Amino acid sequence: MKLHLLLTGNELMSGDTVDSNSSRIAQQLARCGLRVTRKVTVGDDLALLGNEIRQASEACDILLVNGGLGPTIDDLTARALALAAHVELHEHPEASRHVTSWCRKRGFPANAANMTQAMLPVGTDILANPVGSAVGFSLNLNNCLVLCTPGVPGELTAMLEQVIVPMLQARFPHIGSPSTLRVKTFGIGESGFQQRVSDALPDWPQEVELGFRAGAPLLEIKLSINDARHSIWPCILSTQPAAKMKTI
Amino acid sequence: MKLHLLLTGNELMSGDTVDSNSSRIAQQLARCGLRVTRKVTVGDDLALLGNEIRQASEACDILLVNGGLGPTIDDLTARALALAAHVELHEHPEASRHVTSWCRKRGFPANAANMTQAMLPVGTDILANPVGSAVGFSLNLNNCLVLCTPGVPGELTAMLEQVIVPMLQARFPHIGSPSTLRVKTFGIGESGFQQRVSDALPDWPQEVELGFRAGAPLLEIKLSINDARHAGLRDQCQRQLVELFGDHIIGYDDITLAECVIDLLKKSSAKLTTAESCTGGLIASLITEVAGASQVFEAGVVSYSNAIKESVLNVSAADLLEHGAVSEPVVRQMAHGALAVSNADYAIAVSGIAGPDGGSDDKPVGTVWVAWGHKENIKTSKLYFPLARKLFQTMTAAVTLDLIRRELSGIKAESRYFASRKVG
Repeated sequence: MKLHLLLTGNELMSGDTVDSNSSRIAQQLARCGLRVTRKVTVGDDLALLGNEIRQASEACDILLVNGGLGPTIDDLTARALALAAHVELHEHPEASRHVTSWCRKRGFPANAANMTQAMLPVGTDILANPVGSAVGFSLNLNNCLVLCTPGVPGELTAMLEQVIVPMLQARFPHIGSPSTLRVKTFGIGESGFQQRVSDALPDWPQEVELGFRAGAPLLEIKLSINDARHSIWPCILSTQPAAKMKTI
Repeated sequence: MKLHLLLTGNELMSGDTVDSNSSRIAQQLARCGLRVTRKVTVGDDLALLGNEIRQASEACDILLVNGGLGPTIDDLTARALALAAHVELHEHPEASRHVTSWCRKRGFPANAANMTQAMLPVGTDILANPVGSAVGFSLNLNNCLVLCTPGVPGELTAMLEQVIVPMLQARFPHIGSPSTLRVKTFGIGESGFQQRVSDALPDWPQEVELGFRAGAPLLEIKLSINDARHAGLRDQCQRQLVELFGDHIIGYDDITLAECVIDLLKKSSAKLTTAESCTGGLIASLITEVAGASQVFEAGVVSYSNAIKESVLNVSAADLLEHGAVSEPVVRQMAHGALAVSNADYAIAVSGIAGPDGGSDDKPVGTVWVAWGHKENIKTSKLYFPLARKLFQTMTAAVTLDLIRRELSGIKAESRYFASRKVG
């Protein structure tokens, strides 16, 4: 199951905003056993965005698009998806009701800018937004499930937790959930660690992925498995280097 | 000039690490007029990485690759570039010397894992790493300049500033020079700033883009122009901002409050001392982070317990008992105690309740007494920062440094921000 991420926003390109959304998305989707394999970020440009959606839809099974759902002129995701899918935009009744009622609850009538948030590509399904005015939406394009989500972190989190994760879990029940054991070490560098593992544990099983994350000052060692049946390995391996070290 | 970014790391895909590098890269490259137009992130997978490098090299003029230069098996950038360029890896003599000498300086011999960092694609040039063991490298591939850089933020920053930006500026001199003026301010928020600008400067020229970057604790104001011919307009906007916000302006570019204070102390040949309770040495740490701090800072005291406030700073036991550690007399005596210990001219003292526990109705979490000023004229004030512990410490340290900055600059006006946080 190939999962790609497409993020949009000029503020992500200029570096004014550090992208914390994709970390949030990866961690939520890991709960249903999905791993993000590729992430593309582009600015708010209709042609670029449409092109990226089309290309990704041909290369993966699930494409999660984040950002560009707002009411301003630089919010282009719906138009880009329509472009990629060669369909028109229309006022989606359910989205329209959501926007109107969202505005009414806040005591003002929906204006034209608000209502652009209900203009969606023909054929899309709604992903409810439990928090904000912009509904998300999904479309099957080139055998790829395209999910469009809001860029506001609070809205994204609510939609992931309450709508997208349950939907994907129901849709793909056979996917297992991977698990990672994270070990914090101090006083040994990445290269020293790697060297000693290679020397002392030449039979490292390929079912257990060994990863590193060098922080200042701790080095994190990650033992990851994709299948719960291999869970015995991280336990053995996480104790074994220590035992070997005593003998060195 | 099309600039793409390619980031690699499983920790970026899993979400374990929030990618702050690409923001750093975009901002550094903006200094030589380059804008990132596309950014791709993939995990540590040789085939994927090689494929992305090849595809990007066909689509852009400069490709900056970040990450995967380390000595472990999940560091694949050199191999991926070799794959994309259809060349072999070889031990690069310059890289090899760098790794060997880096290890020697740290007192251990380079092992095989270290030496993998010298195995580079044939034909690459070295990008020096002023900080770490992994050299960067560049290669011309499909008419695209591919730059491979380390993922460790400190190493990346040093390489960008000292090697890559100067190289690109020399190589592409026709691209605009720095078009953004960055002004650092303290004590005024984004919306407050915007409102005052809108009110006072209704004729703001559209050629000068006004941008903000809210940091803790400084707010950066950015004045950007896309055409060098508008530099005059930008300078005029800058002068207007200085008039409007003068006493809030710390300086330009990457200046910090501590740097500003140190400069001012040097100018008046004065020394500063600190007596810290709730900030645990943060103020002293911010000062000593700056090279050359020794000229103006000889000592600070972290007096966390009442006993040490008494024994080291000579705070009266009776006052501690009667008023409590978070009180005017105590913080004033802490300042005088630190002055006596250090023989400095100026002092900062803080005592407060960082939380999450330890507050009372009288002194809720977030309450802090501060003392600051010249040894002949120590002032005190009570402030209230109902923030999470770390942010409370950051804000307390920043405010005290700003108070000393105002004192040293001879600014009589009280910061609006300071006034609004004052209690009691």
